[in-house]
Amino acid sequence: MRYVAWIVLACLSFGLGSCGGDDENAPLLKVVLHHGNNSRPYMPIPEEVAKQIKGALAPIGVEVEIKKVEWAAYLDLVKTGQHQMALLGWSADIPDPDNFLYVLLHKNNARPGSANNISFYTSDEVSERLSEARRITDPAQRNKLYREAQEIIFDDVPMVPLVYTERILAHRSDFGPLRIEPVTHPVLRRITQPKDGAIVYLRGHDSKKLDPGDVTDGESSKVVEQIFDQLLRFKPGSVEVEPSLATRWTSSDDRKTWVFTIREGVKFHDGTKLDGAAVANAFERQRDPEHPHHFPDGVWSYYQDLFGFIDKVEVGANPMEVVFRCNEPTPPFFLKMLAAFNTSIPSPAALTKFGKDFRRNPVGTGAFTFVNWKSGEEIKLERNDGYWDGPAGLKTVYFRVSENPTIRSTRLMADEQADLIDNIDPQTIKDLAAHGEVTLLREPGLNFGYLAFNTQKPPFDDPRVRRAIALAISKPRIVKFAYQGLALPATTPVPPTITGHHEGIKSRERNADKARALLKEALGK
Amino acid sequence: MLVFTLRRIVLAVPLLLFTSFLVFAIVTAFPGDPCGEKMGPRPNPEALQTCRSNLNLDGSFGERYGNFMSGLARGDLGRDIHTEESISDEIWLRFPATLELSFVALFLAFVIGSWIGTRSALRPGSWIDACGQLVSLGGVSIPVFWLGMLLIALFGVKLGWLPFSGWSAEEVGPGVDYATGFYLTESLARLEFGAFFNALKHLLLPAVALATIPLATITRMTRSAVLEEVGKDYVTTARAKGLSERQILRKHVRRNALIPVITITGLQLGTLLSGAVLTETVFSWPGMGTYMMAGVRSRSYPAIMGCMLLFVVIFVLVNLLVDLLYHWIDPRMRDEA
Repeated sequence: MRYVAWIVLACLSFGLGSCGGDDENAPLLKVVLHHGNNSRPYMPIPEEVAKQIKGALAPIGVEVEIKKVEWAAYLDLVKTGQHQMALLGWSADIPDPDNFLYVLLHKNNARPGSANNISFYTSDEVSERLSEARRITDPAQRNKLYREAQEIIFDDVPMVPLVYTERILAHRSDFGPLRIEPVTHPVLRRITQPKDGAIVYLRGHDSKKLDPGDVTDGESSKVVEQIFDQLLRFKPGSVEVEPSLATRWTSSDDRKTWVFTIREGVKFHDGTKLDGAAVANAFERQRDPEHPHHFPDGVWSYYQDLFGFIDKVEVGANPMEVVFRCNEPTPPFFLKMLAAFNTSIPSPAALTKFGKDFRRNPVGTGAFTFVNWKSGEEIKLERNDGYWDGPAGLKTVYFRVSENPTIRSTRLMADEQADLIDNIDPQTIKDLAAHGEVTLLREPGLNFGYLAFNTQKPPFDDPRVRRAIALAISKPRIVKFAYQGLALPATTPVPPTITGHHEGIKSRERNADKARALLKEALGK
Repeated sequence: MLVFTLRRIVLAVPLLLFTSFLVFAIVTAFPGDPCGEKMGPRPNPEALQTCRSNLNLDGSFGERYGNFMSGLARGDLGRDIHTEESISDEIWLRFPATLELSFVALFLAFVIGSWIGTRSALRPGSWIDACGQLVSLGGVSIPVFWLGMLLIALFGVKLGWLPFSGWSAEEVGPGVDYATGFYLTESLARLEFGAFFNALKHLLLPAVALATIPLATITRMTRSAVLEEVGKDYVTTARAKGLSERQILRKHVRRNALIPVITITGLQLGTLLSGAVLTETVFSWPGMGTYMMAGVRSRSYPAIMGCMLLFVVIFVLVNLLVDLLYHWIDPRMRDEA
């Protein structure tokens, strides 16, 4: 009896398949899967995703070796194409299919060293459609091109889209309304029923800097968005834009020149008047490395990534006009780009006064004024009573830090110095939802996580091998184990929140036998 | 005594130098670099290179260590890579919160631990001994961050007796104009009892959580020390002289047994500081622990090194103090010196 138990144990530990002695599961292929070492919004636990993929591929005869790499080294590795398979994701800067498909799968972005297209996918069929969709403005036609591109991509499998993440917020129910915005962080100025005039926004980390042109991380842009305005802004709960600091605009027929009229009577928090020069300054300081407000140790990554087509931004025919001169026709989503946080308009006087310390002393035109910042602990904002769109309901907003997500939920439920929390601990979702004094908000996000194949290198230069892998992966399992259920299985690289998402595409049904057969065929075994 | 003190201080110098080297080497050995973090998720390779050379991450190890040490010699711990604030200023701003928390925790642990330890030793096998064993076993085994969360769940949420977040002048003593960050000490010194008790209330849960680490060691140490002493001849002699058990305990046993206990208590301050890092993050305590954790997350090497160095200095200082205290308590040691 005891021996039987030992044999069973041995079988279990070596994997049941190998015990039976059949070579059905002998590896047909050995591959390496790389992933980064840190948590990202689109992939909080990359280790777990990697493990799930390894587990799913073993039965079809693919032996996966997982390699975890430090983040900076990892980006270097995938951008230079040293990987076979790699896990990554994308958070949209602009709510347009272009920001997913062109960036991640156009052949122009497949140059080793600076590639965002880490599949090094160079399909002409796809690239032509994506380029064409950049040139035209008709929404229906663009939509058609993006749908076709998504179909080809689905068939070619340069990547396996794994999940669309959810955005989750929870707040005390005694104030509101608050909603999850598709593109921006919560817009605190829209809160009309203030809880004694002040709220504490409790989050996991502090901001790094508050100079909008130079911000790269979410914890910073979250605060920046409350202090600054842009030329345009997103309508509540929408990916469409409406006038903000610009009231009107026109473009030339070739879409290379745009003229914006700036709102009259708007003042920065330091009393400076908003005019065309201030707006031009906001863009020129990011574009021109010689500009006195282009602080040399800045990152400026958003502008460099997004606005390469702008030649110059200058004051127009009258001081309340600003002109954008571009070296090519602006992309169809240009106006949406002017609602992003990095195009916020800072006070030129404050930039001159503070120099690079502006990042610790932000001055904008927004509904909230910056008061002070205690590093690692608290940022305090006060209502801007002279706000051009009417003063906000809240008087004071505190951004505070509590690193532990369970504690954040606990503090919210106990009403202990927490009114609004994000990056929520999945384990506490049920309690938050059931709590009588807490409102839980959930919306699909603009992020997605994916598995990229290096399509330039064997074995993944063969689409059959890629299809076989896609057939073997179980996305629901990944959602369950690596995202604790807080995500949706992804079908295409364009999330459903974006107009242009192809809802006709469904993920391949997991079928290990078919996958194995396909793989054998491709490998000639 | 003076010679002894001076000798110990001089001996501490190479020790500090060596640890500074160790701290620097460990932090340098971390994979990746702060620039990757600073430049965001999609860095531009040129900007990354500029950042690396600005922060002097390109130089050889010796060169970088030299720079670090020359800064240190001038009392300059460098600047945070993101906020560019002076690390020494930031640390001093947070040091009082950590110090008060650690001392209250140590005080709790010493008082409770030596009491339980003594009682356990006097009646081995009794219920109090069993409880003492349980407490010390629990204290050693339970991670502080988990215990902290349990305490919050029970006393903060379920019973609602105690606050479990924050430690700022506004919350602790509204209206009191604090000159230092030592809210507890300062409010007591100013006889602002309302603020003092309020501060104590804020401090209690994190201090209890933190106290469990040294509590276990102190309890066990006291127990074995007292057990050893009560079996000695001088106790029998004292008994024969007709002293009451109470007097024997107070005047003889406790004094002798206390020597190793004090040493161990002093040494616990080191573990306490590392425990403070975990406890502080759970209770959002605005001390060096949260600061160091934030530094680790944002890869601000200067912040990490600054905190680690201060921990080392404290540890060395406390050891020195313990040695001196030893001399003062135990006359036999003076002769040896």
